[in-house]
Amino acid sequence: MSELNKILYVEDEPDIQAVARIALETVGQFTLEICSGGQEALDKAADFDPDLILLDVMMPGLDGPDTLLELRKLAGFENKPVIFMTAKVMDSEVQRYLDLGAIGVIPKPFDPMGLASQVKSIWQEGNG
Amino acid sequence: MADTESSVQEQLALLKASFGSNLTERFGEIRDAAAPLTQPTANADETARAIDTLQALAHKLTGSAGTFGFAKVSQVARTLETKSGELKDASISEEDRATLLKRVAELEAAISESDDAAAEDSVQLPTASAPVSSKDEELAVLYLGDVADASGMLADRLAEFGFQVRHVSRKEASAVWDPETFAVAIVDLDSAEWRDAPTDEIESAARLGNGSIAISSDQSFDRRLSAVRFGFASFLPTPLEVTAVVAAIDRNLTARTPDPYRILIIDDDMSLAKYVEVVLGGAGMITESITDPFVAMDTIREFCPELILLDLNMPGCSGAELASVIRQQDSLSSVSIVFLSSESDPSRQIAAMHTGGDDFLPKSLRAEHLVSAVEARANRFRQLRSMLVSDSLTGLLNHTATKHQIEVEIGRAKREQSLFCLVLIDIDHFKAVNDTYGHSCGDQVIRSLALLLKQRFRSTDVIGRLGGEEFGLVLSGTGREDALRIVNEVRETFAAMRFETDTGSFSATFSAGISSFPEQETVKALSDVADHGLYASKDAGRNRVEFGD
Repeated sequence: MSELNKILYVEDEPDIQAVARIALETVGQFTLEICSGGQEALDKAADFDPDLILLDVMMPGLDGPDTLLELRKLAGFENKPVIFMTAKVMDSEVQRYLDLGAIGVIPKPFDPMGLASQVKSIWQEGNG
Repeated sequence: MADTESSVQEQLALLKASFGSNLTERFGEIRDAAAPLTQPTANADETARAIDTLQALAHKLTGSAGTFGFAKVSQVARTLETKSGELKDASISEEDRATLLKRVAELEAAISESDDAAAEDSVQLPTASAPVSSKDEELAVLYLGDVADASGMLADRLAEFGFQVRHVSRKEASAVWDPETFAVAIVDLDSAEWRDAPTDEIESAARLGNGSIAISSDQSFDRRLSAVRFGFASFLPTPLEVTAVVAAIDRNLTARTPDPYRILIIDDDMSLAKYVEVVLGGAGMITESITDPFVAMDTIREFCPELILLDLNMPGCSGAELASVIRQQDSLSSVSIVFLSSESDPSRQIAAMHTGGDDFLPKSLRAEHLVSAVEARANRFRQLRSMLVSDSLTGLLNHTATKHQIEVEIGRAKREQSLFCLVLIDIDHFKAVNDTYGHSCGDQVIRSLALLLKQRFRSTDVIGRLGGEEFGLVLSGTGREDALRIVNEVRETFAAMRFETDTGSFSATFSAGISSFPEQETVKALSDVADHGLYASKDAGRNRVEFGD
């Protein structure tokens, strides 16, 4: 199992980006690339070559699930682990995201101090 | 690790405070989005678009408010989101419309409640504030030595600069020390009490506050070295020259409360700008961030940053181009510019430096490294600039820097709709002092007045030496009558000072003229009017303060 180091984080809300940056960079010590939308993520994905992608579900333009579908078409991203983040956490929806190929769903609002370990444990389960 | 956690908590608290202070603004967007729902004339399309926007905005707020701990706001936003979601793509009734508007109103109420709660919260964004009157904290000097010796003379002279002197015995020294009461301690190493004191007692006396001042008639290298080893911050030879004592106290007080660095962040990635702001703000720096390079010049003029962190890659206007524009303006040539970049190609980095940037920092720096990297650069540039802007004899701002500060103050006063006064001061018959007592005595008079001004005015006031025996003061937030009163007090204190020379002692006086904003609105008008006041004072017999007209 490879180690989790580089995370591509896709989220349109600047305030949440700022919190996630503290949660994942300072607390989690990950290398982070933040994108404000699906298209930007598709543009940056290949260059950044992340170990994991964190996708907000509801975004203007390409939303999370659409972004995932497009990402899957990129070389090397066919099986790249993806975690969705969403404020909608009804069971039926969680199942739908997992069916799309996500390894997990993190409910929003998230706890800034706990986000990194949440991500890590989903990564370990999904990659174990 | 505990340190990391507490600094993370601090950063999150700052983000929370910043988010909280923008909640009302965010609600504005929601209210605007809901506006078509209040118009009976809105057609189905407009209504549907309004509901879409409402849902998206409410969704965002649900997540972000929750993350920042505004549980109630998050919860109410969610009900609005849910309701908008239900009504999406449906034909909506009057009742639905009313329900939606009711949810919007509930959200406004929840936000205003959270405002009140935040006001009681102890978390505050860093701000700079200053009292409006003249210096209010009067600090004393703790004198440790033989009372009969220098302290009597010293007490009188230091009182002229606003310092009371208190003398205590060796035994009491440490117990009596209190940084709220005392500016500094002076230890007379030649005194009977301290000459043969045990090393540990001298060491603890030497390290009171930011370090004490040692005084001794023995100026040998050995004596000075031993003072350094005891931990003293300064060493002054006796007999004491009072200006040297005041200058040492001044240095000590400046070291105690260094002004926070002012850092401007320009980056089109708002989350990065905000993140950098929070990290630097958490370390006590005053920050501002903008994402649009096209408004940068206005912000730079108003915020007066000491250091600009500039993203190299921005759409429309690159960081390198913006650096060139900043450097085109003489008044901004001493602002330091540090590029923030993910650029790893050294040749492109070096090319960017030719546009006027001073340094590079990688965007991927971790929080603690970012703080120390910015601090180190800001500190170095502050030192360099202080050499550029200060007058070598007095350490006050020089002519150019003072003029620049008047401009800055005009900008601030216009923006904040506040007022300020410009005071021009000229020492009376200064040529006669130089001719009679020599230039070194003249310099002593100038230094004394400079120190007196520094002691009597706030650190937020601008104090400059405009040249020769002329000084300029910018008293921010101060009205005409207050300015007149304070300057008159200082005038009387100065007139009472005695200057010792080999051929006897003498005193000096000054005349002053005052102009004020908004009565005068330009640097030239302010200077001219204050100059008229100064001439009026001279004409009326000197040792006076007059308003110009």
